[in-house]
Amino acid sequence: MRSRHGIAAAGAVLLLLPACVGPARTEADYRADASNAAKTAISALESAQLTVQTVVDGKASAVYASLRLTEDEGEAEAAIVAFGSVQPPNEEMQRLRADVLGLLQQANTLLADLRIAAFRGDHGHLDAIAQPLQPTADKLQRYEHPGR
Amino acid sequence: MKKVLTLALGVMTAIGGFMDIGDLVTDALIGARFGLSMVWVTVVAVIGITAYSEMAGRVAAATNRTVFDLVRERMGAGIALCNVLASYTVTALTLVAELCGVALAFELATNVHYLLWVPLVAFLTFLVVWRMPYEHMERLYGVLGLALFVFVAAVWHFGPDWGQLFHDVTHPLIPRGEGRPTYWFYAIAMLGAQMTPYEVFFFSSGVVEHHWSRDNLTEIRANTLVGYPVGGVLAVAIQVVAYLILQPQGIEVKQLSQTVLPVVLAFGQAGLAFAIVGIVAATFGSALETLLSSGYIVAHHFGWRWGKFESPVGATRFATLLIVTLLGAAAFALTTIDPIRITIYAVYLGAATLPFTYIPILVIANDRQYLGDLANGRLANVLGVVYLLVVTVAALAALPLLISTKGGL
Amino acid sequence: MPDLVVGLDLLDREILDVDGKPVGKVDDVEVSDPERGPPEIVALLMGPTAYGRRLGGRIGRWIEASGAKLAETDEPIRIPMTSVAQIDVSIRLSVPLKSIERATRLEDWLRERFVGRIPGAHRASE
Repeated sequence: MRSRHGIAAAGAVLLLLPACVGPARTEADYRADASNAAKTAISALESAQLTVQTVVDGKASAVYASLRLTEDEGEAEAAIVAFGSVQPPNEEMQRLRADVLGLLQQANTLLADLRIAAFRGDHGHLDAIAQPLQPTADKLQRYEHPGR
Repeated sequence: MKKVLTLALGVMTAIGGFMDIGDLVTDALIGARFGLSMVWVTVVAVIGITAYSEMAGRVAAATNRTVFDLVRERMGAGIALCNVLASYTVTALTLVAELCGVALAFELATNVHYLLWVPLVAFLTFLVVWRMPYEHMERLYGVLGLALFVFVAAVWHFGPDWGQLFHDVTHPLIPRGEGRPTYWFYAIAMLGAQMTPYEVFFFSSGVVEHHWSRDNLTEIRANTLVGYPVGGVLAVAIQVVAYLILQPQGIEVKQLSQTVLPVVLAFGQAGLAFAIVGIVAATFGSALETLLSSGYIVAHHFGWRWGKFESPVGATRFATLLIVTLLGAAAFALTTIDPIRITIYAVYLGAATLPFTYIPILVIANDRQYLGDLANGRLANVLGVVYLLVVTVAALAALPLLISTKGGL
Repeated sequence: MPDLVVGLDLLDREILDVDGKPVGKVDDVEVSDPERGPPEIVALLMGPTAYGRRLGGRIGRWIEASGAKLAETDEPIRIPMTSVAQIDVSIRLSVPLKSIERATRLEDWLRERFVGRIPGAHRASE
């Protein structure tokens, strides 16, 4: 019975494990972190893109659209915080950091603009504001799959 | 005529009971991430839960005894107590996820943050358990849960290449960039979402509480043999729309609002309304079921008076436990812990506890002294043993996979 | 009383009173003094003290101790075998629940202090 408690305790610790991201030690680790951050931001941008499409097609309510875009913005923000807090192992990685964080910031600003427009009910301009979504996502692709 | 209606209502309730926040989250997440390469898991899970629910229902009808009552008798007090603690924890954790699920659905409708809805949802759950004619409620949410068929309609709306879909389902491939451990981590999560242990406890308790006997075998079989597979169809539909719409864009599902995005794309606000009604019904129904189940687990172990038809003063220990569990779950939900993560851990840990629920059911279902001619036939035994192996392997692999994938990241 | 295998036929079985109301589980049994003839089961024991004692280990001792504290005695609830009418899938008593000493103590206490005070707790059963 005692081992069962051990397992329960281990389970509880593991529940909390993904929350703590330690400093990345090697270059490969750091690139993987950059890739994950890019992936999250791309997901947020693309999901905002689909949301904008539903608004332009007259399919989404204002309530739904602003909720969706707020969440996407939140995802991008989380990616910035998570990736930004990791210590780059060398100078080359520091440059990678600057590039990726720059793009993440762009994505975040863009999503914030969309969220503000949607909240204001400014659905006419949403399409125009959304124009840079795809290019930003494309640029991030390079960092998501570095070898390609 | 009335009998047919009762039967139909029961089946609809079973469909509603199958769907919960675990399915809504994992199906969309997995469809968007792994495409249709895990539809086979849903098929495996549906056959398993159908087989074991039918067995547990048959045992309950023949002996008037519920799962945890029998677990203690067959496994002894010590092992049974560990089982009770594990099952109660997992079920209570699922309750947290369901409360958040209802609140998230309200957020979808209103854009008011879900945490503000959690206390209200908890209070509504309390009211229904405390005061409402439970059976009507059960049917109401069962029927409203059918609104989730909007996901099935959406599959047709997008007019996919059926041949390709079928090929993807029958030739599962791990997508590029996903490791094998991650694939199996989510396969276990999916298994847990669809074979949720509380469904078996709840069903067997329901049979005892309705005083169903061997004459009601038709109802028991109809509920399981029709209800769960139809629920499985809903689950596959959610995976398919996520695969069709979200995966090509590289969208990772992290919010409930993303689960319904394909439906909004297909049917606009009407589609969203249907989806929200369906989600509220499914998650609220499951909140009631998980709350009552967590009470049943403990009450059946200790032999307390229990039941949703018993007035609270007639079963005060059971009633107290329900209140404490509900308050605890609501407080946990209010810690702003990520509800989607909680859901995934709840279904995952649920899968890990399945063998402890299934072994005693299988043993008792073979006891001719207890069941007489209702004891397991060959089909039930073959399925029973095969699934016991499946869930045991899953349970043994659960912890190593959880560690090596850091929780499916 | 026919021959019984205590571990299989008695322990952990559900006990129902004369009206079919659940009383509890057989947490332990009391065996007669072997010096006065062959050992015989004289009573069914219930409650946290009996449960904890049988469970053993640290958790068992903890349950036993807290049960004894709550009940203000370390004697378990005792049902003499003379009150047992039938032993089957469940154990049926020939007496009502109310006649068993201390069996409803916690239920009654919770009713008075907590559950009974919440509005709607007295609703009739469906």
